[in-house]
Amino acid sequence: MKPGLLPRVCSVLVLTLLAACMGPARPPVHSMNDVAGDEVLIVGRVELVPKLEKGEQKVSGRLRNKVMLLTGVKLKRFDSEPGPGDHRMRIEAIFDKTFFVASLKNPFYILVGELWMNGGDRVYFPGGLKVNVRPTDKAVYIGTLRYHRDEFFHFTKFDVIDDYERAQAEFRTEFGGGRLTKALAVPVKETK
Amino acid sequence: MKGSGWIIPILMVLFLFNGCAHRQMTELNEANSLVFGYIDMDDSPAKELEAFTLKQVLPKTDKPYWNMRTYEGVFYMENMPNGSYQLNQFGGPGGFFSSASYYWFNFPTQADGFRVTKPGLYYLGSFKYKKAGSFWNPKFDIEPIESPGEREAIEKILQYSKGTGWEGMLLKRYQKLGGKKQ
Repeated sequence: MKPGLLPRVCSVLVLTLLAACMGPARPPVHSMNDVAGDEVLIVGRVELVPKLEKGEQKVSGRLRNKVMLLTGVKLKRFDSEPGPGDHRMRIEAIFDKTFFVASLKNPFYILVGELWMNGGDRVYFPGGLKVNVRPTDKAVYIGTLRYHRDEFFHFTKFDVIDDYERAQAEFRTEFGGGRLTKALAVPVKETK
Repeated sequence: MKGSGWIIPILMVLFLFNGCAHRQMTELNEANSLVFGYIDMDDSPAKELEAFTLKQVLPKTDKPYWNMRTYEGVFYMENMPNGSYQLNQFGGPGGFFSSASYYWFNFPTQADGFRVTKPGLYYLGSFKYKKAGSFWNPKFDIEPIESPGEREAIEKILQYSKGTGWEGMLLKRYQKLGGKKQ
């Protein structure tokens, strides 16, 4: 038996359970008919600079090339790894691809980004962003979240890019029309 | 079996020689550096530090892993070229009553790293293994410690630099840190 196998197997089992218990992500939307009356369509994008290299992320299936933006109606900072409950209503964003997801019609926070790399090894993207959704909004553009990293996968720079024109063009192509309100995600200042 | 009594002592000598040989530094290449550090493994399930690996992240290479030499908690490797390196994993054998014969501890993707920008000595620091997580989800931390420090680390590996250009560099640094002349 391989040394230390039991704790490793347990660890993998825990992570598998975590993946299974995460609950549903915010559902991707392809028609405004899929957005309920108490919901709003959230439009945005995540970019990683430089991009993931071939073979850098060793997971397959639905977690590939995808960062999970954990969201909440209250701001929360994580001292340890987020648990299954923190993954509810996450946004699963494929890098460099505009996402369209439904969300309840209220302001929310992007708490942290989570990228699964290899087995249970996860990379965390800084969050702490507020999205000011108003009750009158039907579709909201939150911007392109652009994360810059160094060779150690430490984040060196973060910007919310206003790429409204492109997002609006994609929104019109996908949904045929309607108003896309710009409400760029805003970094929340630390309060002591 | 006449004469077979020699085999065991010869094997023991070869084993000991092998143990020392993999610790002996190779000759200094002046374009390269010596990287070293220390980990206190007292709180780890492993009996001692026997393996330590760095991953070369820049420049990119097909063979990015550097297996460091180890001795009494010190990990070191001479002739490392300029580049960026990241902590990758370390480990050691389990004790006699241990549930495992070998333990590995893997650093995460966002582990600390360092850049070797010009030839010289690079001391990464001294650390202590700390258990974290739980049995079901085992994790670890390494915490910086002050003692043993750089001077003590050099003291341990100096013997394996004998006869190479590294010896002079290490001695100079050792004495600068207050070590007595050898």
